[in-house]
Amino acid sequence: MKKLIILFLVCIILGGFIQFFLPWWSFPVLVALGALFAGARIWQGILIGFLSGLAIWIAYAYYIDVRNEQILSSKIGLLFNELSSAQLILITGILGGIIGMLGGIIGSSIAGIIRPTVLK
Amino acid sequence: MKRRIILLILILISLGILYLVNKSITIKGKQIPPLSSFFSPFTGFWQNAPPTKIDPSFTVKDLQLISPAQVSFDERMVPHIFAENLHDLFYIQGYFTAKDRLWQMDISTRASSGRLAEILGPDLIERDLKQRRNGLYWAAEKTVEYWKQDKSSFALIQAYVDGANKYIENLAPEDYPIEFKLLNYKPEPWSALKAAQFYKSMEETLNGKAFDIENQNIITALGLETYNYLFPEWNPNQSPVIPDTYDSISTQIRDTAKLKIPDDFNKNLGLNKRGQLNDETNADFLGSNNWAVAPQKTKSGSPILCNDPHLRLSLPSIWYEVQLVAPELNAYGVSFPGIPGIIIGFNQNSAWGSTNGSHDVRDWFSIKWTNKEKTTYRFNGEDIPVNLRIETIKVKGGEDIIDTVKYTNLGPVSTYEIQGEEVDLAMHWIANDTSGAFVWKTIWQFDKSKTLEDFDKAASFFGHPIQNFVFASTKGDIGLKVSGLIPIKSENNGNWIMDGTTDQEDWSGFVPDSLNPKSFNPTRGFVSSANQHSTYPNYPFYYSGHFNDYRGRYINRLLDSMNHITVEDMKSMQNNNYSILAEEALPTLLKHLDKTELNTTEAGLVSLLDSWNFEFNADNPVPAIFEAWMNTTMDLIWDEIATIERKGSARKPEIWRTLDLIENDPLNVFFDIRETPERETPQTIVTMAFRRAVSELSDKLDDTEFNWAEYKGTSINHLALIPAFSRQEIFTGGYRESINAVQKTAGPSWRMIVELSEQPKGIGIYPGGQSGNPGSPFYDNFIDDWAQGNYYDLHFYNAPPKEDPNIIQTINFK
Repeated sequence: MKKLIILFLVCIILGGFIQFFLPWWSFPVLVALGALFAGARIWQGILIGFLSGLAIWIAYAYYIDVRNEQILSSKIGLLFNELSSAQLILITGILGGIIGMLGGIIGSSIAGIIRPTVLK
Repeated sequence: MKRRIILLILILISLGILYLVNKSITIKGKQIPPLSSFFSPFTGFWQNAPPTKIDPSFTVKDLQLISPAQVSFDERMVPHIFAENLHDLFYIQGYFTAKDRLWQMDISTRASSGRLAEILGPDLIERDLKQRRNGLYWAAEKTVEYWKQDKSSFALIQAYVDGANKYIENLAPEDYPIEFKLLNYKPEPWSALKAAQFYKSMEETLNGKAFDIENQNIITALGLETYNYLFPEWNPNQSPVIPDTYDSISTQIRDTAKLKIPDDFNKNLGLNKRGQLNDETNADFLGSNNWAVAPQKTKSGSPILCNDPHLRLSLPSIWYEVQLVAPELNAYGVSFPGIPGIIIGFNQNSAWGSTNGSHDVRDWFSIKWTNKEKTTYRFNGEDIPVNLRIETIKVKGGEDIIDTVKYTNLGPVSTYEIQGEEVDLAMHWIANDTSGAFVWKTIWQFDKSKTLEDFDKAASFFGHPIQNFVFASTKGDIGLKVSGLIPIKSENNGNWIMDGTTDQEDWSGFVPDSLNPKSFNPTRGFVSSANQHSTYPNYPFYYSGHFNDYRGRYINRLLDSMNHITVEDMKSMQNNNYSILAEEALPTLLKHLDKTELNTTEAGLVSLLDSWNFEFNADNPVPAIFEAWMNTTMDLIWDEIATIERKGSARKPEIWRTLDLIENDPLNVFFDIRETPERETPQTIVTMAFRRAVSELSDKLDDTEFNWAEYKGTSINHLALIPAFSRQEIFTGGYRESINAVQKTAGPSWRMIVELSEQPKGIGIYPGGQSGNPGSPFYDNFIDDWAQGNYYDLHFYNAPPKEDPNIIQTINFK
């Protein structure tokens, strides 16, 4: 459990940090590496990847949106089937979550391949 | 082992999905940007949502400036740039224009030079080909070579380019304007070539209109005599730009041709259905108004100058507001994104503005090929080979298109359709001539001009087609000069397709500047222009064009009668919705309406029309009834033109001529609708048109909320026509033939009024905002005030402001 919490914190803090400098795919790479070194199980990789991706993207999108007073999000929402700003933030978060989750799956699967005992 | 394989497959699937979310895909013809980078709040569209709270100061790194400089942004985010030399001034102008309008700069030059398919795909190939075949890319290249001949001016153009590029090169992908992200492409460096391409786009807008092909179709179908009868060039009620240059007034229009429609005029084609016509009467008119009133006519005793150029309204706007201050000049006004200097504005001593001359500067010539391959042509008795230019059009998601354009001595050759027959025509278009095309001298001289003599001299440098430049100074002078190039042509040359086997029907030079019409400090106490004829027909040089008959007359009527004029008077004049077209047309229509068989609804509408004051006000439904009635009348009368249009483009006679024929030539064969057995008269047509218009409007007329603004449906669209980034159905009055020429998609793109008191005081507004970013609070924040006819104070600073309440952000360059 402790391991999971540490992994989650690392993914959120470091994952949020590196995305300021590196492209979006740096995040699933980080989650994958994290899951690999922590020897996470598949469900753990999925959970941690999804939650950290969701949290980072939702939090940052929400922060931007509040400071922008929904000017842009309301227009982008119109482009995508008249989504509200809140729905757009949620979709952003889910996308971030899926991307993180895929990283988690990859990392934990590699861990599973090189250390099959972990999967028990 | 099995588990490992499952895990491996899981990894591959995950990688596959990650790859896919980074791909741009097309669903139902709609291009979807890569989801991951587009939605990522670190790189995607969220990065285009700036905080609405503005930082009072921020730093910009490593600009290559010679001296310290300061930029202060006022409450509407207008930059006031203070530099110690012109290089720094234009460098900073380039930098901040790019910062606010980069995508607009990119797309407008792509549209002009035929490079849209490269980013938008195969649908745009035809459009790109047309631009290339019209020579626009070629002409821009030639223009840059020409500019380079003036080294000191070119260095300043280069300073602007360098400034813009400094901004562009510092951009990370997450900083790209949102349109680049949506369309998934990268900004290119700015260049002098792109500036020239922007100019070509303006020349295309202002000087591209010509009816040679339309007229030729009509002449081929109906004969020259009939054409001349239907399309007289001079409206006898016209009030020209310069009324007092030449002595006598001649009118020649009332020739009494015996009108016939030829027997072989194709009867089998039948009639066009309404709406299929490429309807010139409905087309938005790109024009402008300007005027200046002399001290003796104003309340304050200072001249007042007004200008409102009517262009296609778009977001971002065509204009970018700026104040430019250096030791050499201090000017405030509007600039074109991508071009150094101020186009329309004022300085400490004077104000200036412009309207389009609307002369015909685009002519077509039939080419006689002398070999089967169509590579040599007959010209002045010789066989001459064409010059070939290869145009390569890059296509997104497709192979390059290679096109060979043939150039003759008269211009590039394209194929057109004249009454079903394909013909090769060479086009001589002033936009393709570079001689004298040096606009900078004019703009930069205006920016620093003090006196009428300065103005006259600056206008003499203008090497483009005619602009009516207006001027007023704090000394109390006013002036208007028909400036630029008037091609010298023999009468009727260039009005339809000319003979291209000689240079006899081509232009033989340009009218010298000293003979360009002008009016300085006239006794009537005002000067004005609104795209009407430059002069009376007895001007020594022949010219033709697409002139506007109504706005100029009304401006002159008002200014003639006004005294003790104030800025408030000028505001209401720029927003005046009255139309002389309605004033002249409605009585004729009502007179010919058969009122005996109208039902009660129709009779009620007639009494509304009867009491209408000819103002196209937003909240009144009556202008919509008039407009629908007028247009339907035109369609019914000119059914013959619709028939011609089936085999090549054509145009209807003008409304004033149509009204003239209704009143004075009612037996004219054109009043007969050819598909009906009866012989129609103006009375039957006008009555039929009224009923048809009313029945088409009937649903709307039942709605008590229905009004002119709704009928007109003014929209200011985003340049990529993205509805979410556009402002549609704006509640505003105005009419294409009113001073306030707000139309469906075109209208006053900048309203400016300057009082030339000791320190000139300007007010102005344009329908848009300083920022090109749809996520910015400054994207479209002027539109509501513009629609209501409000103005903003233009803050003019003589020195860098310090602690000024109107300044919300300051940047110092050390």
